[in-house]
Amino acid sequence: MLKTLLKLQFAQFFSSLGNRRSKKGADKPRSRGSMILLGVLLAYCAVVFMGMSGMFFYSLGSLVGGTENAWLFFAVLATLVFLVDFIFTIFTAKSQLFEAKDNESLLSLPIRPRDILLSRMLMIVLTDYLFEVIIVLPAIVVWCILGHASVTGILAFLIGVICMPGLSLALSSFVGWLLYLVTSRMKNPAIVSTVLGAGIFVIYLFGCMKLGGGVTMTEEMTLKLADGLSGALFFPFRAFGIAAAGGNFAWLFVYIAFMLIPFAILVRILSATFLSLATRQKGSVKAVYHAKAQRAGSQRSALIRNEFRRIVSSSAYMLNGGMGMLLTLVLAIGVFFIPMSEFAAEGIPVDLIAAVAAGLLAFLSSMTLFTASAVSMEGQNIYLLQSLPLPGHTVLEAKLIPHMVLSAPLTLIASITCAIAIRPTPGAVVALLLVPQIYNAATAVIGLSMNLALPRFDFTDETQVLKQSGAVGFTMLITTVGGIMAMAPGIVIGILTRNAVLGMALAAVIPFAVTIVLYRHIVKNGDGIFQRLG
Amino acid sequence: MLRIEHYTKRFGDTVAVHDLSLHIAPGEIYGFIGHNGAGKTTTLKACAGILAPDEGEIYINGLSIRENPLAVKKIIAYLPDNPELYPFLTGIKYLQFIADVFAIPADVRSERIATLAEKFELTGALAQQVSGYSHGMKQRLALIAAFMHEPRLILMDEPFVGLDPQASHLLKTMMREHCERGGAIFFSTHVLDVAERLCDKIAIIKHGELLRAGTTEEVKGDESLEDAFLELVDEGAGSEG
Repeated sequence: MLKTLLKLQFAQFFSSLGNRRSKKGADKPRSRGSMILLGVLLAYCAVVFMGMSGMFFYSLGSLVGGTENAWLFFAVLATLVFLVDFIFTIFTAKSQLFEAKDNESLLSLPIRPRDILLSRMLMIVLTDYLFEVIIVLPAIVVWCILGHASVTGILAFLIGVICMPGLSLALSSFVGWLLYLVTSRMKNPAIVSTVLGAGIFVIYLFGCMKLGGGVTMTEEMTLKLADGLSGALFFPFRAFGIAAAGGNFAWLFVYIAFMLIPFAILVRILSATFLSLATRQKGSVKAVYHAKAQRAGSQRSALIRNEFRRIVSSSAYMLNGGMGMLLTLVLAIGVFFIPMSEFAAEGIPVDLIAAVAAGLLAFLSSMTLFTASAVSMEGQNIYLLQSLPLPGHTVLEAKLIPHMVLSAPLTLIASITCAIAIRPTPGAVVALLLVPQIYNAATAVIGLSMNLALPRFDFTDETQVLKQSGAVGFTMLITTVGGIMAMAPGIVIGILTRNAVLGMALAAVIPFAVTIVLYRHIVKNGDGIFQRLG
Repeated sequence: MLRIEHYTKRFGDTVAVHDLSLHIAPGEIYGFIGHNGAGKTTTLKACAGILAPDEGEIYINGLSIRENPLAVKKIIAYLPDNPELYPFLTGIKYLQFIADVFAIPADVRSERIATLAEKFELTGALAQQVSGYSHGMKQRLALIAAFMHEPRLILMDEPFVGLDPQASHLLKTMMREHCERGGAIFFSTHVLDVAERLCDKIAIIKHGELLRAGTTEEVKGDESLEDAFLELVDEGAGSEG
């Protein structure tokens, strides 16, 4: 039975990648072009993250390889994998284990709850392995290149890597379970989940900074790190470090026990309670409506209000769509902790620092992706808007506005705090205020355009649209890689002319043009495009 | 009120509806009967402007839905077989949204919401989120939304599914009242008893082809509608064989 359920999970996963649902409800395969683009996107992401991981571990391995602290290399690796697996699967565990739309229909079939649970958990384990590969593969290659690998060490490493997701999955499922129990009875569960999610993400950023602080390590940092990871809290990761660095199987056994025992206990507990959990009565105390006078509004404002309500009703939507906003907030505050006087002492012009800040804000803006899933989030409700007397372009414009209303003020605040901290010339201040906003607008229209090209309405839980959809992936690819390419002429001319303001202005030309062209396209052809959706 | 002329819709190689022509006059309740996959929903969706015809034309109040989609949608209401409403809205917020879309003045909407919600016994639940509604409650909310802007034509896909006997009776009464005021209703159903008692006219469709259409008496003849339907469908199967 588990095999059948796994097949179903795989079918859903590949369907989300490779198929799109037609208006009649049948799946249609995506075109070869879009599949190639998807492959390019995945390859790009893998290369970028694996490159960063490789540089970090090369730096660490060079310092600790062959020393008594060699265990630190693998302990850091295991800690990073644990952090990434845990943080990035809490909400996936919550939605896929406890909130999946097909839980009730599967529970009505003669299937053991444990099998349903395990099939879903195994899919999360696969996601964990994908995250793992990005960290683990470059690390072990670097370890071999540095000449520290042994046969027993590699064997211990491989066994350890296979068991690695056990603890993180147990903890993310446990936290997901708690979140589900707490939020399923709350009036505004999404707000609570979002605040928690944002908090966890900030802790993760802090943890990564503490672990490495960047992609290069110093001897002093490794000593601090070794001291930190020798604590009781990190004992399992230290055990893995000793096992993989020295090929010590006794320590490997200890590590495996730490990884698998919590997982087995959790599966046992959740299996026993899954039926009552998945069919739990949801919703807060029932409010009672008392008739009162209603206020009238325009179509446009009604649509925009709906979009806002949709966003704030879903923590997954807020966190995935608003990741760029969260990082912008971190930058807005963090800029005051950057010692600007050191740049001045090195003779770096303030306008150049402002240009870097503007580029960084523009890059972070490209990670705010509300519009990339705004159309798909209509789901099976798409018929509703299509059957109402609403011009398609008004519906689509209403999906752009929340993106700008939410992200533009925050970007503006970050621009102002950067301007206060950097104190550039007036021309650079203007550019610092405007350029990120142009990238913001470009991201909004590119996201919406991608979602119109690659809509998905047949999801069983919304994370399939928010995390795994082609529209979100392609939007990220276009806005990040394309954004950097769009900045290139400005960077080149800014350097050649030694005029950072001119450089910033030129960097904004392409995104500005893209915004105008795509927005006009949406306004002009939106009615027809929207009516053909679904 | 509704004129379907030579409507054809294909999905890939499959012909969902072929050369369908129907005419529904003001004051008529028109039932649309057929087995699963016969093309009823496809036709209703086309009338609601959700699916564009491949061939043929659909006119509502003399206006082509292809050429004047917004003008047509202002005078119709569409109720799908499984009303998926916004789960993140409360019932009252959903009705406010619909009222804003149809530009219903504040005082008028307040009065209509109060009246319809009371009729469908949903007043108290309007403060709750739609995600917590049962299927029947969603159906009742969708019906309130459908009647709220007083459409000329109401298109309904299996409207009685999920309704309790009381709400079902109320809906039948409201359908009749709507038509007495000069409106029209085009709805699909599998409940042949209801169709027989409620409809002025009936059309039977199979595999996208219209088998018979006319007044209820003409369609069923001396038999019950159920017998007539089964006979027609079996004839179709026989001729295919």
